[in-house]
Amino acid sequence: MFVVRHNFQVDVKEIPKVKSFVESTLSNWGVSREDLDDIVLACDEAATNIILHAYGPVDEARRKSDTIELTLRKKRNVVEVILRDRGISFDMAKVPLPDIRLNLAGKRRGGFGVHLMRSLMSRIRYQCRDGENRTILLKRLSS
Amino acid sequence: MIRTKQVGEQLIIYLRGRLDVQLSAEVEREINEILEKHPKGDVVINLAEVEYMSSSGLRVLVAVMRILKANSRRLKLCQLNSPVRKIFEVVELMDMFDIYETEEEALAS
Repeated sequence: MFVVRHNFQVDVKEIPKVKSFVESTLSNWGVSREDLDDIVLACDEAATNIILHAYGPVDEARRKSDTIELTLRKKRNVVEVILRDRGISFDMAKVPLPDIRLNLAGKRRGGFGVHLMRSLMSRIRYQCRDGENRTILLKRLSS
Repeated sequence: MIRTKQVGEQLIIYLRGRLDVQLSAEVEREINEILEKHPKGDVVINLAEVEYMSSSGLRVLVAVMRILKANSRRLKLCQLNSPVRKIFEVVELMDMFDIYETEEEALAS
């Protein structure tokens, strides 16, 4: 089993670093390009959601002191991603599917990120315990 | 700085690089400025040089389509590379956008 862990600042400027970290780790572990692209995008979306939504209403000082911890684990043909943060509880499972008609009518903006995560990964879960949020993404590798 | 090209009444906008949450807001602002300067005709967005796109980029394209539709103008997308095309397929937006293989096909439609 392989495990790596890294902490990121709560800032959208960190998203390229999240992508680089996940991409280089999975590449070193021999994950195929197609699976790697799916996991990188899902991690981008998950981290983006935490920064924009879990920390959206949070004051600047706390955003600067908190971090997002990202753990990557590979066991046989499964990659597990765990993102931990201490922002406002944000359960992705409650986000409705995107509706392009509502988007085009200007009545809703987005909703695509969670849908992408659900579609690209084999399973996604969310837990909130003692003020800590855990977003867990599982990907069964195709090869 | 986003590159553009006027072909007859149609405007081609060339996007490049990453369309993620960090850069999408800036790209959207620039496109809106371009559309204000070019208030008529259909728009082709060439995505050949977009190496990565997340849902933030998708939101920008939906917003552009909304603005153009409100003015009875069309948005056409062309030269989607494989990872970008996959995003449109996964969120089932292939039918919602006019998507073409080449710039010439987009301009001719």
